[in-house]
Amino acid sequence: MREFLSKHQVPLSCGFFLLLSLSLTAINTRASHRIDPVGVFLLEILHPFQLGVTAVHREVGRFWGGYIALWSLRQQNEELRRRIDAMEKIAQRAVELDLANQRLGKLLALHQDLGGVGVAARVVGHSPVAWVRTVVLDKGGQQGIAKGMAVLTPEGVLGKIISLSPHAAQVLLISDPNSGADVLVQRSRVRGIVAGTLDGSCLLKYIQRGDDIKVGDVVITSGLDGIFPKGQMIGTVVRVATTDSRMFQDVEVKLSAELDKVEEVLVVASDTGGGGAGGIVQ
Amino acid sequence: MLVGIGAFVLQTSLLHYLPLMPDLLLIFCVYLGIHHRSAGGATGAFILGYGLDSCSGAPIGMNAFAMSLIFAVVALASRRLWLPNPLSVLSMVLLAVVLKAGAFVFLSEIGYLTAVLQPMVARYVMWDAAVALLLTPLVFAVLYRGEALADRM
Repeated sequence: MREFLSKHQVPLSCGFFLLLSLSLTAINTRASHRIDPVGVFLLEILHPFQLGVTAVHREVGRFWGGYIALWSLRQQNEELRRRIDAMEKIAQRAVELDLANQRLGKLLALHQDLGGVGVAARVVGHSPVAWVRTVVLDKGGQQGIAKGMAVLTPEGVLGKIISLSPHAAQVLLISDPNSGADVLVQRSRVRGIVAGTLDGSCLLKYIQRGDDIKVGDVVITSGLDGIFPKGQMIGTVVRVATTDSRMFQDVEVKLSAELDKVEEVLVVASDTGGGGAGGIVQ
Repeated sequence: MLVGIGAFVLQTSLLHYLPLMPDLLLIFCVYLGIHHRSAGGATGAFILGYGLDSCSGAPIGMNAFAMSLIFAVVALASRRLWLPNPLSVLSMVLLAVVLKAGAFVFLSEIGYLTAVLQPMVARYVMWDAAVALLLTPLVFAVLYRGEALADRM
């Protein structure tokens, strides 16, 4: 018997368990509630193992999530930096465009005030020598510019054309010692010559001792020099000094145009009429 | 026994996070049928199936029947055929999947499974089978290594 059981243990045990499982299924199918005598025991055995595995899984997941989150945060950070850089460039460009728009708007107003004549140009170069004050424009003979033409800005007179090429022109600034413009004091109509000095300031020359001039007076072009149109803004008197031994008053004028910061200019012929706003003072 | 518990724990915890859950216990049952053809192996297969039923909430006896059947067929086949080669092992696992599905169909035919469960069971058995076939070489390798380690100890 033992030999028989030992020899056929596999089929016998398989048969037993098959019948047992069929019986269990049959019982549970017909029963009104679930009959599971060993279920509680199995759950209790598995419980600590499941707790351990779940805890390890949670910690690994947290660590991995943190690592991945940090890595993706880093990528996101770099991406956001790139976007910020790009947006800053766009914002900067927008500001530049806005400022250029404002300047060109003023230049257009001046152009219209002068009857729509003149050539708009941009300052593209400056004098390499400190005591000569010139600038270079990006337009020249081919665009209708000629020697001796006046160069104006919406804020006031810049200078005059002294040399020329087909595509470029050199402007002698009004603050240069070699320049000069025939001007009027707007209030008293006293006439004089504005010329630059080596230190960059401007003097109003040939104002006689008795002439009516004071600090704050506006100085405009007289139109009599045949270069600058009449009524263009030169600047404001900032100093008046009289010396007993001298025939003329010592008058300093602060130019209205910021010569170092000008970017767009209007080049006009000397016979161009003036009037209205934009550099012309009524 | 430890391996059985380990497979159970994995099946009830970590493997749930995978989109397709492999039936490690089925592979283990085939392993028992090939390498532990004894009353002990049969008992182990039954306990695996019963444990599945108990932990999953399936009708008690359903998986016990399927696992016992798988063990019986694989054990009988391994007496006649030379099985410990990869292709034969994969064939046995495939046969085990078919037997499992067949056991559920049989139980439903004799009225021990509700009709509602049938299509669901069939679908999941097929998907689990596909993944089990893929994992069989790995699981068997781990079991072989485990047994070699246990023998050395």
